[in-house]
Amino acid sequence: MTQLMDNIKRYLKLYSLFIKVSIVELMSHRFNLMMSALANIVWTMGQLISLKFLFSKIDTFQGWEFKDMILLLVFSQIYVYLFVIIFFKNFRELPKKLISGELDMILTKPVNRYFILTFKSVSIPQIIPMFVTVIPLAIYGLSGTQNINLLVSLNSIIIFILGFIAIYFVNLILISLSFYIDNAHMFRDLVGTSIENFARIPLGTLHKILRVTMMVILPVAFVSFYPAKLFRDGEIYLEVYLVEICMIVIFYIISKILWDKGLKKYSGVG
Amino acid sequence: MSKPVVKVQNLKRYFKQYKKEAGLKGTLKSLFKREHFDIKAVDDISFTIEKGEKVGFIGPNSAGKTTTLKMLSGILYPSDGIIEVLGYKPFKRKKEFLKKIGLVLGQRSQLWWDLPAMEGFVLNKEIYEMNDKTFKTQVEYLSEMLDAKDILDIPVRKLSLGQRMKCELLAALLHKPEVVFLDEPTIGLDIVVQKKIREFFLDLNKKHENTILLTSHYMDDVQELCDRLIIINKGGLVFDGAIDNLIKEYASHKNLKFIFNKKVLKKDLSQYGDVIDYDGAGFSATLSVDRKVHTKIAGDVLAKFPVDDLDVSEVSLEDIIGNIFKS
Repeated sequence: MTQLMDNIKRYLKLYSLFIKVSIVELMSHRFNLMMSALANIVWTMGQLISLKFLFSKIDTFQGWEFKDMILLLVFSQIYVYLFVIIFFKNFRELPKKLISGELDMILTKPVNRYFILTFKSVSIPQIIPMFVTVIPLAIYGLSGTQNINLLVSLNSIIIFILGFIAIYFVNLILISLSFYIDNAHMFRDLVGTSIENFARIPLGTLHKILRVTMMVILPVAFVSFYPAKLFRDGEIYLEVYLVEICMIVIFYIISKILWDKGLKKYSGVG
Repeated sequence: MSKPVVKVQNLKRYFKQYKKEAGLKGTLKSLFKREHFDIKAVDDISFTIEKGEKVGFIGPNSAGKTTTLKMLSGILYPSDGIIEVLGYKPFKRKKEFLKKIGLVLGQRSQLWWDLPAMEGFVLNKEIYEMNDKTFKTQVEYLSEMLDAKDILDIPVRKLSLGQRMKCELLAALLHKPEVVFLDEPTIGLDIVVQKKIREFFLDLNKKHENTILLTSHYMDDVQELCDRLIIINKGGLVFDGAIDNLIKEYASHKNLKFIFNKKVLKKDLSQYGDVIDYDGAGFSATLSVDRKVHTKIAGDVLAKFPVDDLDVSEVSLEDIIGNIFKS
């Protein structure tokens, strides 16, 4: 137990260092910070205008009212921003590291390789638009719902976090393909874009095959649809937890197998 | 007898490669059918290294030096054979093992490009779980030795190549590794910095008895720093032993350099050995002669010609190794 606590402390300290270094790094490119924040705020405003336009023509979208859709947008935005802040740069650069041999130095460090590979770069600029856009939208979206209570909120957060972990492992699987296939990063880019796009759509509007895909292959439904639905309906879905946990375990095992085999194949660069 | 620090037995590492014909046709063809073949980067090599030894690992390009070094540091998995460093199997990448080794790849950096090197050291402090006191002492000690105190707070991208390498060495040695793997640490550096780095490692080895395994294309690195050579070529081991033994075994000739006080003709000297250097005026010449009879030949030349000075030298290490690879 003490060992576990020490490890948690160590990794938190390392992560705080990654954040610190990312901030210092960012300060040398202040213009990037402003432009990136502005671009994201404009993008979210665009999403909001599209929704407003859609609901000026219709009253509900497959039973989802405007405020419900805002909640869905809030969760999809939280997912997108968190993913971009924590992982995006790392996942984007990882295939390059495998090809260019940069992985060499990382493999000789006495620290969990997944941690250092996927958490090292923190995209600090995205924190500002996340707060600027998500908080007002969340206040507006939640203002119309009757189901705000601690239980619903807690369940919603847990479902979101588990879904987020599952998506992390999906990304790890896709990145590991770089060990086996040239330009495998294209798969991750494709899946990443799909997740971002489908996260803003109610699951019921999709074809059955797509619905199943969004749940058990690209677990996007767990980071937006189900957390938003919880607030909308006020019901707790225990089966959702079960599916999420199973998926995390399965995706973890697959990613571990692919990474271990990939590292055996890894040849670095001469 | 103590256990060797490095133990390698019948080590092999093969890489799978595929051939692709040039042009669009070749590209399309390779989409559907690829012809694979194995590259034997390291093919059945064995050696051991004792604590505190400084070993030069040399060979031409594609000989398998870096691949071996990467297997020893746990980056690459061996295809076959036994490999142990400090009693650990490197490819298992145990935390305890990784804390005891240091790796410097001359053509790779572990520092942040946009940040001062010190930021990278602080990160390494946490990664290697060093306490504040040890960290401070080590930074001070190593920066003093490498003459790098004034460059630690400058962004890495603004440092010269030599300064950057000093910082890389600092980053790799902060945690006091027992075994240090150096892959061409002086590549591209000027002679002054090269010398400084060599002196640094000699001093480090003397004080802390680190085991050093070095690959380099610069023979000065090897000659000044190492007391033992392992030569590999095309993945196989060619020589393993002291530099003196290499010279005895492979240098069949010695060089005799004569300075004359009167002009001597080249054709008169050529009957004693190969004239490998002759100045146009005929006042100096170098003969390459069989090492077994070099004293007799030196005596004969001294007796017959007006010799002012004589210098007997070994063939350069570079030439010996070059000849080994050629043969």
